[in-house]
This record gives sequence, C-alpha cells and structure tokens, in this order.
Amino acid sequence: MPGKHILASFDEALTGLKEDVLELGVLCRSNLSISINALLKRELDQVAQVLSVQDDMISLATRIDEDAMNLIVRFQPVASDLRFVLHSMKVAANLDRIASHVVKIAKRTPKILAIAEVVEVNLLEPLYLRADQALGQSIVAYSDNNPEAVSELSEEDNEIDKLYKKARKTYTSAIEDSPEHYKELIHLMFVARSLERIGDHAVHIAEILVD
Amino acid sequence: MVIEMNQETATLGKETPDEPVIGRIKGKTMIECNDVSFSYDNGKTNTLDHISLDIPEKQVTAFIGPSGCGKSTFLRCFNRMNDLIDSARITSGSINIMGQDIHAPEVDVIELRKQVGMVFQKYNPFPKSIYENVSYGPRIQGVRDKKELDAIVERSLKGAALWDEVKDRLNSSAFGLSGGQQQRLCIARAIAVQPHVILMDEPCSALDPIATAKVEELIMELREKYTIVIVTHSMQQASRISDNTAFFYLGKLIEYDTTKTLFSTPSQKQTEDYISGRFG
Ligand SMILES: Nc1ncnc2c1ncn2[C@@H]1O[C@H](COP(=O)(O)OP(=O)(O)OP(=O)(O)O)[C@@H](O)[C@H]1O
Ligand SMILES: [Mg+2]
Repeated sequence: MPGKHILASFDEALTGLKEDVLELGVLCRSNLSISINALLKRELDQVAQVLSVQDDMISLATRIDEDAMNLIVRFQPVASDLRFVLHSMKVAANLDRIASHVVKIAKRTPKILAIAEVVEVNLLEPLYLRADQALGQSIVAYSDNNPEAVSELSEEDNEIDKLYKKARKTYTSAIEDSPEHYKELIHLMFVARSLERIGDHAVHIAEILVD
Repeated sequence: MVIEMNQETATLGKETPDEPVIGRIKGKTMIECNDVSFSYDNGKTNTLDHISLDIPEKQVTAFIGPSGCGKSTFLRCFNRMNDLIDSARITSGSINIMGQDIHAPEVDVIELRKQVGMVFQKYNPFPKSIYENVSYGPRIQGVRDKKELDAIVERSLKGAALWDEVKDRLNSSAFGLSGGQQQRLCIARAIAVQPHVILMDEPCSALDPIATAKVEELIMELREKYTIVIVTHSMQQASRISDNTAFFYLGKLIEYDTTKTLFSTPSQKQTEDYISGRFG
C-alpha cells in the first residue's frame, strides 16, 4: 500500500484487517492439514481438534466482517483503500467456505474409517497437496496484492481438476467392485470433491484481486 | 439512468505524463479552458499554471484540492470576478463560455455575470425581504412589472426548493431564515436571472448535515437546467453530487475525470494520496 495515511488509526485499522485475514488463511491451511492427516493416518481423535479450531475460525471471520464494516463507516476509504477493504471481505468469505469444506472432510472421516482399510484413500494425498499449495499461493497473492497470481493458480487448478476426475473414476469403479463399501467410497468421493472445491476457492481469491 | 446522446466528447488535452488525464467525460462543452494561467501579481508568480479543461453543460463538475491550490481563483475566472482585484490577470490562455471568449473586448462583464451566477460559502442575502432578495437581479435588469416579478420570485424559489417553506412570509427579512434556507435563498437569487452556469464555492461548508443534504439535493435537480461548477472540501460531497471531478494541486490541474473513476481508480498518485488522506 502506497504512503502512510495522515490518520495513523486508519493505517492501524487497515493493517489489523490484513493481519486477521492472513491469520484466517493460516488457520485454514493448518486445519486442512490436520483433517487430511486424521483421514490418511487414521487418527480419529484429531477430528475433534479440527472442529474446535473451526469454532475459532468462525469468530475470526465474524470479527473480520465487523472490522471491515467499521472501517468503512469510520474512515470512508476510497480508491485503493476501498478496494483493499472489499477484497479483504471477499477473501475472508472464500476462506470461510474453504473452512467449511475442511469441516465436511473431518465429519466424513469417522464414517470412512469405520472399515478396517481403505486402499483408495491414498489417492487423496496428491489432491490435498495440490489444493493446499494453491491455497497457500492465493494467500500470498492477497498479502502481496498480486493479481497476476491468477494465471499460475488457474494452471494449478487444472491439475487439481485432473486429479479429482481420476479419483472420481477410481472410486466409481471401486464401488462396482465392492458394493458392500459403497457408503465409505461415496464419502471418499465427497472428500475429493471438497479438495477440488478448495482449489476453486483459491483461484477465486486470486480473481478477487484482479478488479 | 444513462442517456447516451450523440454528443461530442469533451476532449481535454493529450495524455502525456505532465497533462491531466482525461477521456471519459462526455457532453457538450459549456466552459472551455485552454492553457489558462493566472497571476495575482502582474505575472510575477502564477497562481494557476497552464490549466486546460472543458466543463460539459448540464452536469455538475467539482473542483477539489488542498487549501490554496487555486480552486476559488479558477472558479472566479469564469465570471471575471478576479477583475475586481488590481494587479490580478490572466497571463496565458483563454476561457470560452458557450463558444465566446469571455475576455474579448466586446464582452459586457455585467452580462457575463448574469449568465454565470455565483453562490458563496458564507450565505450572503441582502438585509432585505425574501421577496426583494430574489427580485433584485431581475429588477436591476429592468423587469418592473409586478406580476412578472411575482412569477420570477415564485419560479426561482420553487427552483431552489424553498417556496413551500417561505411562501407565506415573502415580505419578512431574509435574516429570519435558517442558514440552510438562506443558502437556498442565495441559490434562488442566482437562478432568478436565468443564468446558464452556476458557480458554487463551498456552498455547504457553513451548513449542518440536514441543510447540506437539502442543498445537495437541490444541486442535483438544478443540473437538469444549469451547468454547475462546485468547489468543495468534502470528498464525500464531491462523490455524492458531481458527475466530473477535477483535482488541483499547487495551481496545476493534476487529474480530471468522471467522479466515479477519479474516486475509484485515479490514475495519478497525487490524486490517490489526496483523496485517501495520505501524506503526499
Ligand atoms: N486576492 C488575492 N490576492 C493575492 N493572492 C490571493 C488572493 N486570493 C487568493 N490568493 C492566493 O492564491 C492562491 C490560491 O488561492 P485560492 O483562494 O484560489 O485557493 P483555494 O484552492 O480556493 O483554497 P481554499 O480551499 O482554502 O479556499 C493562494 O496562495 C492564495 O493565498
Ligand atoms: Mg477557496
């Protein structure tokens, strides 16, 4: 952001907003990693942790919304300041959606782990790694206010889509092979879908920075 | 509502780094300023520095910029109010209003000021009745018929959105009105002589928020008939009521664009710093 404002409290409010959005991003990534870990390593007790972090994230997201509104009312930002505040609100909304996908993954985990061994679970790992990388890139793009990240992220998203399609195909044929596990496999399919959606939201975050 | 008319674009200089950035302002030009420089001391120093901009008719154009940047000086050039100051003069360029060079020898300054009315920051009604305040200009211009004057007073007060509030006390002193009403009375006085242009120098800075809102609403209505140029220190006011905004700094025109563009995506760093309250 260019130059300091004459009102120091305006700068403080903008910096505070940015820090909160970045914090929300960091929590998103760490919670995503915990929930995937719980699934891949069969660590059921970590599911509860995911849910409790989610509560913190909801309060943080609410605070971001309130702070952004307050900032608009108090300082009436214009031009790049106004865009920054609006971007922050939209980025936070996307992170919020990502967070709810993380929770969905966590909630499916006990149901998937109900059966002794799910071979196909490993397919999720590359999908997770890609989605997480895209998420990380999008948060950096917001932090640096770098709309150019969009093109890189779109490529990343194409890879995620490919991996998702592959996973979906595998799960569909697995259901045909072992119909007795269709419930678990459908849950797995939805986990893959959530990861794919997280990739989409990461692209959205970069797209927000474009206008 | 966007009315797309086949109007000529008000072109305002070339897009070189040193020239104001222009291009989106559309409309038939009312006031055309070419390379205007102005000095208060016979040309020793220029208070206005080579300003070129065209003000479109029947729109509200706002002048913004830090104190002392020359907004009022520039505004006063449009009806040659600066002529009243010794040693003050235009040192380069020209100003055309409706195609007429206002400094041409044949121009009658009194007639010019009739065409280009002015409303000031400190509302300044005459110490007379409401009726006399509004009928003063037309009477000076020779309207004597009482019926005609009555009609002008009614039309002007209605035009200034003041009629309903004062119609039962037209003969009371103008000083009995509230500040906001006095300012609207001054606007009624300005429009009584049917000008083409109304210049307003910080017309709301002495008014409370409600009176300000009424004057702003009035300005937006007046735009249908008049070309309005307003100097304001309130960015919010400029963004609420104006179609175009010009930003001045140290006697120079830095940026001139549609208000929407200037306040959302200004192209000059100086503009951005000023409107968002940053150190320049
Ligand atoms: N009558 C005058 N004689 C000499 N200098 C003047 C006169 N009026 C204004 N100036 C000078 O010209 C410069 C521009 O003044 P002007 O009043 O046009 O600025 P402004 O942008 O309207 O400022 P403000 O926002 O404070 O009203 C200032 O440096 C001012 O001191
Ligand atoms: Mg002034």
